[in-house]
Amino acid sequence: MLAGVKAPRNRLDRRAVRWWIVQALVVATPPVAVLALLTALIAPARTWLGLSLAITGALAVAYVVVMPWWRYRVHRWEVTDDAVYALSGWWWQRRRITPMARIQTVDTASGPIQRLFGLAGLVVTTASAAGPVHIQGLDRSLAAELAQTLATRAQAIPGDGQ
Amino acid sequence: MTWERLEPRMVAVSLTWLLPPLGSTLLTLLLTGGDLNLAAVITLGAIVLTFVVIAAVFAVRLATTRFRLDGDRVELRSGLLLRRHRTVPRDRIRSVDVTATPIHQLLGLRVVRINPGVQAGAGRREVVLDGVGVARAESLRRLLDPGDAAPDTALAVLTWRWLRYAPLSVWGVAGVGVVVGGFFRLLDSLRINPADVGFLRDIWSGLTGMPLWAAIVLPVLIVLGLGALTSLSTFVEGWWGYRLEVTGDAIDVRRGLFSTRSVWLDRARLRGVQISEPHPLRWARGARLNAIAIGLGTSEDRSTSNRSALLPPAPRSEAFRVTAGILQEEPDLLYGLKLTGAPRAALRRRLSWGLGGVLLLEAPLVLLGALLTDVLLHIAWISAAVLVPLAIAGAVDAYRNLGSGLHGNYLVTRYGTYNRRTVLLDRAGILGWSIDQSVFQRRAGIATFVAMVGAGRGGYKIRDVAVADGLALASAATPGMLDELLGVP
Repeated sequence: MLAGVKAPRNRLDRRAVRWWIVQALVVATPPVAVLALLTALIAPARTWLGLSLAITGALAVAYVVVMPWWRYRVHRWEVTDDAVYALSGWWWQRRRITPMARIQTVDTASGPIQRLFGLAGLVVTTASAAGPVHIQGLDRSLAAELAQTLATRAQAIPGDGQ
Repeated sequence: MTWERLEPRMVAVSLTWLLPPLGSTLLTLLLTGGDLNLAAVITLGAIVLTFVVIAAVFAVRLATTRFRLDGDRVELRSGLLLRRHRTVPRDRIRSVDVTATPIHQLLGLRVVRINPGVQAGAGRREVVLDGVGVARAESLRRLLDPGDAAPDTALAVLTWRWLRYAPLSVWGVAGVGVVVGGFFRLLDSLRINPADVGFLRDIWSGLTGMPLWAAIVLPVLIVLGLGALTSLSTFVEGWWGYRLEVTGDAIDVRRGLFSTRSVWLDRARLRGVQISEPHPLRWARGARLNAIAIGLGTSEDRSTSNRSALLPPAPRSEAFRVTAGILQEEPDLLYGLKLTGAPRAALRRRLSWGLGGVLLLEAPLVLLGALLTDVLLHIAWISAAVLVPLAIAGAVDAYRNLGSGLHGNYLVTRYGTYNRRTVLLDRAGILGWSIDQSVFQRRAGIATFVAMVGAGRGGYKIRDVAVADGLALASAATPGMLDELLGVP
């Protein structure tokens, strides 16, 4: 935690952990599977392939087991009258604060796996070319509701339109 | 208003697309003495066909393009099968550039680029009118450019003494590498053995006939010399007739010899400036100056045709003076600049990056050396003897360059190893903050603060600052913006 800094108030939906586990499996399985296949098929290079399989496998298992829970402990969000405040990441963590007056668009977006778990993400864009603020892994109806609230609030505050 | 067409003379420009295949065919015939094998014929045929198609597409687009200026918008229509219609509202136009390649100049034509700025989530959507007569280009520029006041005196014009900074750019050397590499790739794709090419064989036998030191030093000197020459000619071509004017609320840069560039910028779009001092230039007390403005791209874009460049490589004092002029501040704005350095943890981080990088490089050498041959071990210790001091020097330089602070209306951040960058951001233009930390940064009590802006790179970093200092700086720069974070009710 960051000294002298308040964390955003709300955690994500618990279903986010399952979503991240599935996502981690999707990322980590192909390289392990390919290496396993090669180890099984190419007898002369079995020692080296087996070694890299063991290392890759251990890393993949660690990723699938550790990342989702770590993320769940870190990720938080808060929407106040003046700003959107989001904390995300695991090894690298990022907290982003965006004043309501600087918000340009608010969308909800969800990938196929996220939808499977009834989750959605909130995407808050400003004029910055460095990319929007994402709050992923919210309950789908909550995300839609938040998008509505944010859109009305951002409109109510006179923006600078940059 | 009626629809206008591009100049028919532009067809001549589409014919220039046929020059590369002609050139490559002639070169091949020259190199092989007219004796072409099948592979070369197929390669050349493919090249010719590609360029003929490109030239045809270009000509069709030219013939179908129409544009018009309405009361409040610019419209562009083009395409034969796939029709495109683009509309840009005139009050959204962020800059209007008039450029010309040598061929355009020969034909009395200009390219007018109308830039509606960077849009979130979309690429740059410029409207390009390629092939407008000189007079019409100038009148378009004046029509679309809202800041149409009488010109003040120029803030800066080209001084030929700045030419001495040109060879200090490394792009020249890189350019020589690109040309040589491209030449050998061409030979390879035409299945020509370099040893069969007369003048290359002569060079090679000449080199092998020399003593070892000369055979090493001579090519290095030649490459450096050619590189400096390239840099010099790029400088002359790019900055010929350079003139920077500040008229009312607009900044106007014109430059270029064969290809003239002209960038007009509304000051309301300016969010700050970046002063870069890459190493050779820093030794000579020189610097570059780029604008951070909506619609102008970043200073990291190609340095030769960079649209955000405000000044050629010039003395640092000149960069300081022009910065103050652009921002409409007192001329001594940057002389009183006091920046706070980063904590020691930042130095430790940079040292571990540098030494870690060397370790990653050496580990395979040592491992394979222990298993296979002593030669690799010797290579390992010799390269380590060179790389370790380099890594340490780089880390210390990077650490000493770190700095941040508030200076009047500006948030200032400085960083970089080889290229030291000093960024001045208008505090009113900051759209939000991002505070980034890795596990290591968390343990060391430091963080990277990123000020989000709507121009340039989109976010400018204050690297590895102590968390408390960063928070104090950010809340002083943008009062109230961090209230949620600081727990202020």
